[in-house]
Amino acid sequence: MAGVSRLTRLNAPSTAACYSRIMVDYLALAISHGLLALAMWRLVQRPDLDRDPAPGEGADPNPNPAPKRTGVPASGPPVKSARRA
Amino acid sequence: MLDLALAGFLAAILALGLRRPFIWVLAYIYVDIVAPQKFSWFLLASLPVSLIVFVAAFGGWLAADSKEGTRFGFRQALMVLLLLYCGYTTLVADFPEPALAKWAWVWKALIFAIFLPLTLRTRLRIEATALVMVLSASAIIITGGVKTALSGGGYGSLYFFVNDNTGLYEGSIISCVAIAIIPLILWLAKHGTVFPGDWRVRLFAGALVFACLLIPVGTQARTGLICIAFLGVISLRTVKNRFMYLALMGAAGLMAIPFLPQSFTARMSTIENHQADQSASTRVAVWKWTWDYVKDHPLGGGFEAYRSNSVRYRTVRVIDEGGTSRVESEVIEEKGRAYHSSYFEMLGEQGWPGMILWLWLHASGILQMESIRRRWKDRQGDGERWQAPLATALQQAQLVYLVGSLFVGIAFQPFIFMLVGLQCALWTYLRRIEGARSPRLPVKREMKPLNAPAVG
Repeated sequence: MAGVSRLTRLNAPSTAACYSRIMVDYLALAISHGLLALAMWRLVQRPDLDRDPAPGEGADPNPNPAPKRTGVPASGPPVKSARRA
Repeated sequence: MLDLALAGFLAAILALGLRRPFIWVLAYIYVDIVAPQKFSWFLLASLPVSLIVFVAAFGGWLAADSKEGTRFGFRQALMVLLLLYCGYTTLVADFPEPALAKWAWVWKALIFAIFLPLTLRTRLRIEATALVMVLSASAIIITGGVKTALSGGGYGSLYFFVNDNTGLYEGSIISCVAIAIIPLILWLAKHGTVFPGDWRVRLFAGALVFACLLIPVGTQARTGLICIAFLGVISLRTVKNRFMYLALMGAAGLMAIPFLPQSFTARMSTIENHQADQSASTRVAVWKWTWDYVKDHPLGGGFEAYRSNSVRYRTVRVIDEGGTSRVESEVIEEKGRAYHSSYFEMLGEQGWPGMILWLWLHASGILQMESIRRRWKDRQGDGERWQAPLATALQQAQLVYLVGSLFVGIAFQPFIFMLVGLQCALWTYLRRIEGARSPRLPVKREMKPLNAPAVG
């Protein structure tokens, strides 16, 4: 555990405090590096990393579309609230 | 074990770059922010990691990446001029050796900021860059935030992985940067597509924002508190419900006070009473010295020119003794004190030409982001709702940095230059897609006779 000994030497005045700080360091490194690795893995799978999709090609990149202003669905009969309006 | 894990992580992302060379650009951003070689024991510490990933990023772009849509913007030209001017002042610096030591990392930061927008040709690349910047900084912020929550931290005693006082590992710098990236975190949580905004993303983003707010508490850097207050004020412009926002901010502030460490409140109180505080008095004295210095050296003294300063100042302290007050003053003389302000750092080191270029670079960024915000904020079409919020987030991050840098010498902080590179990329990208997407319809104007009756 060379990494532990280095962190111990640099960071902590006492053994108990030092190990709790090391655990926090490891936790932060694990979370951030795990997310970085996942992000990069997802990125290499995406064709739009190198080329933007042409208009109408592929999905809307915004995952939070604005709510539709009318109560009329794209297909099918109008919903009750729309009829009332 | 840690060494192997870090080396394995870096090797894995470099391997992913063989499929998509843009990943190497992201790898450079990661290495520049986290600097894993600093807390590596043998593997990464023995390799020129930064150089390897820079060569991979630049070589990958040059040899294997498409240049379609690549444009060189006006602000990149400003950075080229700043780079050349810094090179000149380094050649004629007052202190050649220390100046060369600073030049060794400044030129890399500037070159990368000039290069970065050339690679950011797609929407996803812009998002990926923002994401990797935030996640890389989160490594330092999470450890600092958790340690602060557990032990309260302390001025100069909150360590992030290593006892190192450079880059983002310095307390005041990470305090400023942690607050500056809060708008970017919120943008990623709402508009991100790599991690679409579900409950897990929102939970992580909320926890990370909280950790960012804890960093100034843990480092007890007064700059951070000023940055939080400033971000709170400028956010008023974009929040939907201002009354609710103000009420929540006030309530959160009041609830936080009992939990703040006493050493933090004691240190923050010196913001009001700066005359009694040696650190604040030194800054004022160094700023006066710099102003006089630049009168004699309008072209600047090169990097580290502050080493020639010698400042004398008086601290005044009021001491209460059993109902009576006694004023105690002390004359202090110090030599070679740093600028503690990016504005005076630029002025002293690069003189008026460098200062003007630097201010121009940042002022043009604020204006460009404002222009994007105004052009895109009312668009509601598919794929047209992320641009204005990103411009706002980048503008807020830059404004927080410009306020924080009033009190910290971070004029050449690489993280901020990456932020500038991201702004340049967003600007040129949107100009390009606006040109391609919207053939402008002629504005219809109805001519009315001057004496026509008013409608309604």
